[in-house]
This record gives sequence, C-alpha cells and structure tokens, in this order.
Amino acid sequence: MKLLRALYAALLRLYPEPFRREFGAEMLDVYARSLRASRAAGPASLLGWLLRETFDLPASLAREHWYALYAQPNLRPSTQSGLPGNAPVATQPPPPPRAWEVLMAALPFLLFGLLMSIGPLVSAILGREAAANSSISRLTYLLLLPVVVALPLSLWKHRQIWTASWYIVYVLLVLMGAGLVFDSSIDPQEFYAVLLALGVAFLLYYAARAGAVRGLLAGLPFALAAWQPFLESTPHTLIDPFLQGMLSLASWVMLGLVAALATQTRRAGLGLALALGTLALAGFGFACLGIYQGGMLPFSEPGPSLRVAGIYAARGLLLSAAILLGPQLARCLRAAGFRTGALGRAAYRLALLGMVLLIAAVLLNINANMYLAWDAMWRLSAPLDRLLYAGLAVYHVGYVLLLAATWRAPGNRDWFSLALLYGLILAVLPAVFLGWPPRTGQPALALWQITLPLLAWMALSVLVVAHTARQENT
Amino acid sequence: MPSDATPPLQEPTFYILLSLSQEAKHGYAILKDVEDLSSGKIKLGTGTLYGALSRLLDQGLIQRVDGAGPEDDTHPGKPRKAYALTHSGLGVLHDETARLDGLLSAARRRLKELRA
Repeated sequence: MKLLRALYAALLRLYPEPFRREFGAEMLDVYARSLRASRAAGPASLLGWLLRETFDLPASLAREHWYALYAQPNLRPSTQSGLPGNAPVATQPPPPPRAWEVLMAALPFLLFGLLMSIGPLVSAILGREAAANSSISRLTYLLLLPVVVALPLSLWKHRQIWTASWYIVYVLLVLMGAGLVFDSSIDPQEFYAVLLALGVAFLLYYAARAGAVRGLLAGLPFALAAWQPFLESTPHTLIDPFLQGMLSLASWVMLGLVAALATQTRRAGLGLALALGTLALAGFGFACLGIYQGGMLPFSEPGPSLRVAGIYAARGLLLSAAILLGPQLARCLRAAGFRTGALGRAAYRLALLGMVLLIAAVLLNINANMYLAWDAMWRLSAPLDRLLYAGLAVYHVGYVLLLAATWRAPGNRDWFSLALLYGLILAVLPAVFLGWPPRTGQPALALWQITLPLLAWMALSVLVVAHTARQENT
Repeated sequence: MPSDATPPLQEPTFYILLSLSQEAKHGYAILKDVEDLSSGKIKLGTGTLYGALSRLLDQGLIQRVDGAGPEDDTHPGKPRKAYALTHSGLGVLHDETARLDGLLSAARRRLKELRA
C-alpha cells in the first residue's frame, strides 16, 4: 500500500506545476484515504478502485495540461461572496524565488558570455591563435557540462519561471538536429529565414503567454543575437579579438544580471525597461565595433562610417526590441480578449492572425530579396505587398471586434490598454514603411524621424506590458 | 459574473455542486457524497475530482474555506482544506435543476400521452 501511495506521489509530478502546487497534497491525501477504504471493503472493491484510478490518471493529466496551455489566464476571482457561515481562505501570494532559481535564470547568459568570449580573449592574450585553439576547445567542453546537468532539471521543472532562460538551448538543439537531418534535403535559406523565425516567434509567444517575466527571459538571448551580424560580417583579420571578447562577455553578463533581477522581483515592466536599456547599450558596442573595424555588411561601407548611428538606431534597435516586445504585446492582446467573453476571444485570435500574416510577409520578403541590392531589399513585390496589407486589414478587423466586445462587457472595460495597443501600431508604421530604408526615389528621413517613433513605440510597449502585468497581479 | 458553467452542466459537476449545497466539504467527503447521491453510478477518480474543483474555483462557483473537518493526513497538524458553494454556484445549481425539471416534465407529459 505504501508503494502505491509513493507511486501516486511520483506520478503527481506529471501534472502542470501550478495545478500540482495547489492540489497535489490534497490529491495524495484523498488517494490514500480512498485506498484504505477500498482495501477495507475487500479485494473486488480494491481492484475496481485501482482500475478506475489507473484509467483516470492519464485522462486527467491530458486535461490539465490542455487547460494549462489554453485556459483563460489568471481569471480566478480573488474575492467571492460565499454562502453564510463560510469564511473564504485568503489567496496566498506565490513564494519568493530561491537563490538557486535566480542563479539558474542567469546561468545560460553567463555560459554564453564565456563561450563566445573565451576564444577571442585567449587569442588576444596569448597572441597565437593556433596554440590557443586546443585549450579553448577543452574549456568549451567544460563549460558545456552545466548545460548537461541543467537541461533535464529545466525540463522537469518546466513551469518555473527560471526555466524560460533555457529555451535558447532547446532551439540550438533543434538547429543541430535539423543540420544533421536536413543537411542536403532542405533549402537552408527557407529554413532559417522563414520556418525557424516563425518557430522562434511562436516559442517566445508561448513563453510570454505563460507570464510576462517568462517571456522576457526567453526573448533576451534572441534579442541580443540580432546584433551578432555586425560582428560576424566583419573579417576576423580586421576585428580586434580582445575588444570582441570583452564586448561579448560584458553584453551577456549584463543580460544575465537583468534576468536575475527580473526573476527575483517578478516585475515585468521594470525587467523589460532594463532589458531594452541593456540591449541599446550592448548593441551600440556591436554596431560600432562591426562597422568601424571594417564591416562588410550589405548596408555599410568598409571602414569608419558616419552611418553607424542611423543603422544602429533603425536596424538593430528596432529588430531586437521587436523580438522582445512583440510576444509581450500579443500576450496583452490575449488578456484584453479573454476578459471580454467569446467575442473578445475570437477578436483576439483574428488580430493575432493579422500579426502572423504581417510577420510572414516581412520574413518572406527578406528571404526573397536576400541577395538583392540594398535599395531593393525592402521593395515589396506585388504578392507580398498584398500579404502585408491583408495582415494589416485582418489585424484591424480583429481590433475593431475587440473594441465591440469590450463595449459589450460590463465592468471589464480596459480602454487604456486598448488605446495603447492601437497607439503602438500607429507609432511603428513610420519606422517600418518609411524610415528603414528609403524606397527608391523617396528622400531618406532624418535620423530623428526614425528614432522618435521607435522610442515612442518602445516606451508605450513597456507601459502596456507593465499595465497588463499589474492588472493581473491585482 | 458570466460563467462558462451555465447549464447544461456535466453530470459530475452537477453532483459536486449538489454535494456542496448542503455544507462545505473536503475532497474525500465530496467523493463519497457524489457516489451516494448518484446511487453508486458516478465514482469519480481523484484527478477528475480535482480537475473539476479547479474549474469550479476558476468560475467562482465554489470557494475554499477554512476546513472544519479532520486533519490532513499528508500534513499532520493542518486542517484539511474544504470547499463551499458560492452564491453564483447556488444560482447555477438552481438554474440547472430548473432546466432538468423542464426536461422531465416534457418527457413525462409526452410519455403519458403515449400511454393514454
């Protein structure tokens, strides 16, 4: 009997973390009492009970995981008037994160920093690249050891906030697998530029949907990766390895600190603001180093270039901010939709479809024009043009329906969030359509004309995310 | 508040609400009471019971209250948590009972006509 109880206690770990935290102890208690009662009633009763529980468990597990993924977020009422004689139990706030959880949130960033900086730094210090290579490879294997230990732990504890920092490792594993499987049968351009980008977008949205801080932790490595081409397109013979190593190390360590702080405080708005500030700071280093040291990017001349500030503001900052903020905004849209009943839920899904169409149009366009000249890169071909405008139209239909659903829902009207969400679209359009880069025959906009809407968009986005997170917490 | 649990309710959900209409109960007591109320036809598994309780809590039809029952076996010294019907839950139970009543009345009328 003790064995059955222990087995059930172990199987309870398969339930989603919040459900297990809330009901796990009670379920074990009820299971133990039912077991005792069935045993006392005779072997036939015990067998019937055992069969019932055995068949009930997988069905119940599937149902709870389904609800954990797709149920309405955080809608449990904090107070509810009860029938006379029953005093409601106060809702318990989640326990504060432990020190090891905070460390685990920052660990992938620290490991990436070391992995990416160790080569350039050792080469710079020893001065001989060949001699340094053997010691670097040994150190790299040593640094990968924590990943081997931490990965199963993060899969096991997948509902805890810190595990989102490890999503980047999953993507890298998928990439390695795809490299082995599809080496000769898939067009790498299509795979990396469209499929992978959409897959990562879904992963980040999935993380953000479960919680704003989780989305932030998952998105940070991808946002920093947006700056990497500045260095990768610069010949190794030109770039200073010491500067490159220090820049990588400092950037990843700064992001690690942001991740630790966000996990510790669980304040999504503060975490996002700090993350964007860190990306701006780290990104400026990537842009300067890549371009001033002779970068050959398609949008830059070799050698020192005065355009670095424009490229930095318009390309890297917009891209990395979009990676970080996009999933968070989709999550805010979802929260607004789910607050307003069935029509709101349908409207949110329509608006989300519009967003996916927009992303697909942009990705396909970049993919189609990958090897074209700079001035043609963003000149949309007719079908993609239509896809882009269809995405905008679908988003607007969804948004209007969301307004209607909000109007119809008494007591749940959050016009502030909806106004901000629409303001974001207005703010980002000039930067997307006009500012980066100018179409042929159009005069280029001044730097401030690109940067100001972009900064307004980022500030508004942080405001929306912070507002939604605050509402959910109250 | 608007609720997804508006009638028709699933049979186990109806019995759980009915069980809690009498007094606040903890998990095991609900399990046994549902079995008694349904004359042994509905025997809930532990996972199904707590899944249903979770959904009913989400919908505001029941709430947690300070347990008046015996101590929790897994946490000695702590009272077992109990669940109680809310006003919304009682309303839904009344609505569902009225709906079932209407169905039964219609069926009885028609069957009576057939016999006559």
